[in-house]
Amino acid sequence: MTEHPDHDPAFDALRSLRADVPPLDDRTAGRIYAASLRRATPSPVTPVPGRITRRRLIRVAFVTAAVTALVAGTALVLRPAPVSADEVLTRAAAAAANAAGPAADSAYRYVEVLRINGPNTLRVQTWTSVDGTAPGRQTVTTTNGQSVATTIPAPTGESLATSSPKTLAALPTEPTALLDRLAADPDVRSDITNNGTAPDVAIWEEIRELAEIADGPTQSALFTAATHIDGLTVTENVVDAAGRTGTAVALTDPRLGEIQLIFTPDGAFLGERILSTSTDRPQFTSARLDSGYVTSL
Amino acid sequence: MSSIAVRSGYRQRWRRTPVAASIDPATDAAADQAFATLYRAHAPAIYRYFARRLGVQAAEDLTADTFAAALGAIARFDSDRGPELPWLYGIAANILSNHRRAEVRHLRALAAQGSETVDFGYEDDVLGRVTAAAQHRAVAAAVADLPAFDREALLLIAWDELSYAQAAQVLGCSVAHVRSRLHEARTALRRRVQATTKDQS
Repeated sequence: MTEHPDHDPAFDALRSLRADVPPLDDRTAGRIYAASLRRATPSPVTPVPGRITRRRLIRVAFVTAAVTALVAGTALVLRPAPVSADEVLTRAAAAAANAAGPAADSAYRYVEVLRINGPNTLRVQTWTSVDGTAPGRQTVTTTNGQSVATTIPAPTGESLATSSPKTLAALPTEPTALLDRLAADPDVRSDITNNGTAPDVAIWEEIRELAEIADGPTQSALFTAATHIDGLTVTENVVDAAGRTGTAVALTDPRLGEIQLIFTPDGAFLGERILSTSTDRPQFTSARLDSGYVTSL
Repeated sequence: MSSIAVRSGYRQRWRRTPVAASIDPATDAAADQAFATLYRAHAPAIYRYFARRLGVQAAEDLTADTFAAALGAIARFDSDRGPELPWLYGIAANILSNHRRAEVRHLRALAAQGSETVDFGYEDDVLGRVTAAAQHRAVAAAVADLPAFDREALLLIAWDELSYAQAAQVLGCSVAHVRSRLHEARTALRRRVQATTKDQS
């Protein structure tokens, strides 16, 4: 039983907000049920000690070959020399610096991304007014080809993630000044104060969000600033939402998971992933397919 | 035998149905059956909880996470300590706490743009456009600005129609604390809506 002691228009407005979400249909319920069972199922039993498995044989053969090669004096390279997060980010900053910079105030920033969220894949194209004075446009295309175009309001500027491309392009490029600016952003402050997120994680998360919408020079400044964050790790052979393989630089949020930015070997920004802390399964993957400026809608 | 509150479809009311008593993890088959019963009874409510907070795409994934966690913990569920729906909401709230930032962003998008369009990551709203209202925008903004605990308490009661006692069980605090936080949250909400009304007049 709900306790509502008095008539309260604000509370009534809240109760009707988002009340239109579609109910759980049978098909979705079935999918979720299957996913629940799958996710709760423990991983397969490990091989019985002493039993020779195919994997074990391969490992033995590999080790034997390595020892033989070393004895023979051959320089055996097992894998490429590991790169540091600083190196990957510095390379990414250099690559991004060459991309197109700010356009005329009357132009529109175009960003096209592919997002995988749960079972859904969406292609999202967004056009945003450069100076934030005009409405923009967004087209969302689902995997079955259904496409919906809608007019979106001009950027509100409440936080950097909702600011105009012009505002983002004017961010400081000096790393310390940029980090200070990021730390002062309302999204980051709210993350730290209301959600208890560690400052470094909140800033990394902010960089992740801005990297997707920012143009080349701004991305370059963001990646350079990110090299000042402690605890970044590197993972090779990470696949983005579009199936492209790259190197990921990541910071782990103990509650959310591993927050990764993915780059090509040349340093081009591909996209992002968030790996669930508990399962190491990507809970969110996106790929930036295209970006640039257009003169009109 | 214990009884639990089961949400019937999406009607805005609760009814009492004995379901929890079927949870007897003594055998695998019994646990499977109990889980299936638990899922049938409560999946719609948990799905709606996430859908309203984060959009239907995230809801599917996170509902699965919630029931996977519930399945893993079902043997430890003690029906004597309370009904199972608040227990499930507790798991769901814990999972949602990893997505606070997305939730706040979602609310800010609603505050800025109504329900016509939404922020990155929650484009499903674009597919299900609804009428925007100034009051909705004002309350969305107010809710986005609330501390996480207050927001959770407020929305468990306003959106999920839990009682104060159930919300307290989900949040692991006293009923008095829920009542006090809710008072603060509703005051903030009223102020924001009144300011909007004043601006419009």
